[in-house]
Amino acid sequence: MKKQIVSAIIAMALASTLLVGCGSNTSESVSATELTIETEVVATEKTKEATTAETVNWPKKQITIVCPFSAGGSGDTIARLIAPELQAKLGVPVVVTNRTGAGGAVGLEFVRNSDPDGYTLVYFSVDTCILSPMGVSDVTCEDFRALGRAIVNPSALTVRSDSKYNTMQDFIDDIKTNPGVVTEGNSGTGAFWHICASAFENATGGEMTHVPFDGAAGAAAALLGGNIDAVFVAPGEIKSSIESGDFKVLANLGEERSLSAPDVPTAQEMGLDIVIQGWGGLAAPKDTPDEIMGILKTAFSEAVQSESVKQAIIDRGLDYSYASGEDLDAAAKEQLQDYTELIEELGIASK
Amino acid sequence: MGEWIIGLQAVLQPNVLLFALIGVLIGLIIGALPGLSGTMAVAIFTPLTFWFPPAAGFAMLIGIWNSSVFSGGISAIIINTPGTPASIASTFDGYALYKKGKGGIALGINVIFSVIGGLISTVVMMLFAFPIARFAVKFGPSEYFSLALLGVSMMVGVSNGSVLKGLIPGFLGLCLSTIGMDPISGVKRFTFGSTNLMSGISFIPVMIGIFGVGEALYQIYTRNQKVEEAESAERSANMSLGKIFLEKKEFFSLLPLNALIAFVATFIGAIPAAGGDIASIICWGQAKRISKHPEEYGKGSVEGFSVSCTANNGIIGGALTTMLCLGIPGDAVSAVLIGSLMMYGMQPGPKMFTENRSFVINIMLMMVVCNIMILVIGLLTAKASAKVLNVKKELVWVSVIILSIVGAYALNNNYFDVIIMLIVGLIGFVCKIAEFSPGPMVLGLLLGNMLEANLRRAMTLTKGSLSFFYERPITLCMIIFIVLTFAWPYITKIVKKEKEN
Repeated sequence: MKKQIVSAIIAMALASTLLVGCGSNTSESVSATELTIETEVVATEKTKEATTAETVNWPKKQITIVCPFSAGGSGDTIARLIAPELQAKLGVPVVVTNRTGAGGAVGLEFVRNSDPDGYTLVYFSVDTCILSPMGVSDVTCEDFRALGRAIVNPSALTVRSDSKYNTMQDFIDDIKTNPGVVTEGNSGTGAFWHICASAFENATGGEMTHVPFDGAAGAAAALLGGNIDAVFVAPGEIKSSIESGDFKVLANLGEERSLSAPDVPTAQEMGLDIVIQGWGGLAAPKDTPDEIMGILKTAFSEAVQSESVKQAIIDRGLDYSYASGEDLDAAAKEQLQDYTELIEELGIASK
Repeated sequence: MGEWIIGLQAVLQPNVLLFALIGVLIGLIIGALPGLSGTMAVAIFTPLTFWFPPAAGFAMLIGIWNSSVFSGGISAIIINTPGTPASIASTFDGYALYKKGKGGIALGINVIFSVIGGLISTVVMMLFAFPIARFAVKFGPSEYFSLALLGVSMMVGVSNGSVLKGLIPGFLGLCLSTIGMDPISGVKRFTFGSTNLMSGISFIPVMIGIFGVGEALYQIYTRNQKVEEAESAERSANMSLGKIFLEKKEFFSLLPLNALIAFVATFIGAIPAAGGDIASIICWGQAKRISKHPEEYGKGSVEGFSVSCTANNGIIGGALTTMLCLGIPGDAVSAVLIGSLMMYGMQPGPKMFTENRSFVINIMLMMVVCNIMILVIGLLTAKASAKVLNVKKELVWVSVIILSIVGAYALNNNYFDVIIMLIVGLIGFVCKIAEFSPGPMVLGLLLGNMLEANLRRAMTLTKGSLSFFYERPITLCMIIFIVLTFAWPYITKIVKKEKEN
């Protein structure tokens, strides 16, 4: 009896070691392994089709998508929604693993330094255009080649419904005449929503007091509780409070109207020349060969544009928006330059 | 009433029950492994549930959540390492009970009082969901600051023996929490150019290092064959009795206190960003202050242990309350659950109670069902896990060290966390030899960021003034409460003296 228990304990300990650490080269998490097991059967069936279809004999083994943000966030959701579709298209297991820390820099640096063989991908977001100018890390969008874009995250100027502001102009007038009185909550110093708010000040000539929170949810809670006056976050992140009538969105700073708040005009429609929106997609390290990039891009565009993924993204309250890898690369490069200038001008980089 | 019966019928469907059961079992295993927390388990299994009908999928997630918080206590008892952050307070008394040879009883308490906490908080949620959620969201930076201060004031309570020797590691923990990017200005502090240090030292590897590796090393260092033999003989005597249940009288005497604790925990759970770790520490500390036998707390007090078990499961109802009523996550797990509800086409928030009322009722009933399952499975497996207690110590040490390394790595898939865990383990070991209490160090690290970020946030809002201390009623009440708890012994002393004179 005793021996059985002893062996059971050791087995449990070793099993968990295997679960976590077996793929030291791909370093998938427990989730990864378990999901793999679940879908292995489907995968092997599809392998036959895929290998005959492609001329280049790639992929041959499991692909890992590194999400530099923690489980449950929008980046993680997107990666996990796309992974099964990619798996069906490519015929090998596609797993998602989270490597978090330093606003995404830890995961991004990991993928930048991994082999450019297409087996390690990364959730690629607007953060690659701000981490380096902010002085957090030297990793930029130029270290990667995009597979494509899946979503955009427009920034929305949002206040409580009982607030005295009814239009964006009311708000701008107030922050201009009473500089620093209005308090604005964002998702953390140097995070994208902080830069949005700063860019808004820059464009309008007003001034607010910035209060950084841990993520957009914290800022939204503080707005609901009446502790701050406004937030600049994605409409999808505060959908419930918009629908319940607790919040009103004064302006959408994105390129197009948001699916979560279709009645809210963009700042450009109202005559304020500012476009500031986050985005997310997938990318591979920059030295990944063209043939492999071709396969990945095709699979990504088919996966993201499939009705099921599209609907799932929209159901999740995110703004679905596909763009090709080339377009995203070019846009990211441009944004890197813009944000570098903007951050320098604002003087908010960490030293 | 009719809708509750319909809800009950929906929840008692065989497939819903089956998935709830699977969830409970998954949570049981993952929760008991240090480093693999309930948050992680729920996040990992959420994508799988999209293929199930909403009731079945959500029942599985609720099962995982409840059961992982409960089973975190098992490793706290057996190997003195909290399986999830929420069970951190369970190590204070749980392991001491085990050392006394009352491991079976501790495991029993863990099951029974976790379920009591879960059930009471569910009832509180059913009755008062809206008022609680509306009040909890009023918590702003200054209230969070005073909540963290209340937590830090527990350092004294957590220290065994010398208060000074508890405070020193406590402040070391506070210092460690300043590593990384400044929460307000974003300036890098003590990062030495390392990207890994930018987001600071994670709390979970430190927790695993101190309680797991540090404790194992200490036991190896201080081992004494003769004492061990005597201990194991005594334990096997206890085991053969298979004693898991408390005496009836003792059980009933614990009930009123734990009912109160469950209320408090539900409320703390409802406050966004205050989870089971903080709730269980605060509840344990307050229970110690009102207890008739505070000297037993931390030395294997049945009362203290039951309180920590009730508290960490009690937050679940609270976190669900804020999530369902306002669409704002009450803690990390509920953030993931919001995503899952949205996938099913439901938007958590005030409208959820009108548009998807039947599903809200289902969720509340699922809580009840899952807790009953935990009660049954927990008690059935308690005997098996009680037998694990009797295993040779060498094997326990090896397993603890392996599990600690795995757990620290699994957190972020980053070797850096393993290094941190090992270094902290050594520090914990040295602390123990020098008779410092390492527990407060974990507390300092956990609360340091909350303390600093919220004080500075509050001061940003008031443009540098400290007026929020007296202008905000909730803050003022909490500060007065903290001061009173410290001053009370002196006040009673002075009053006594006056009377004598």
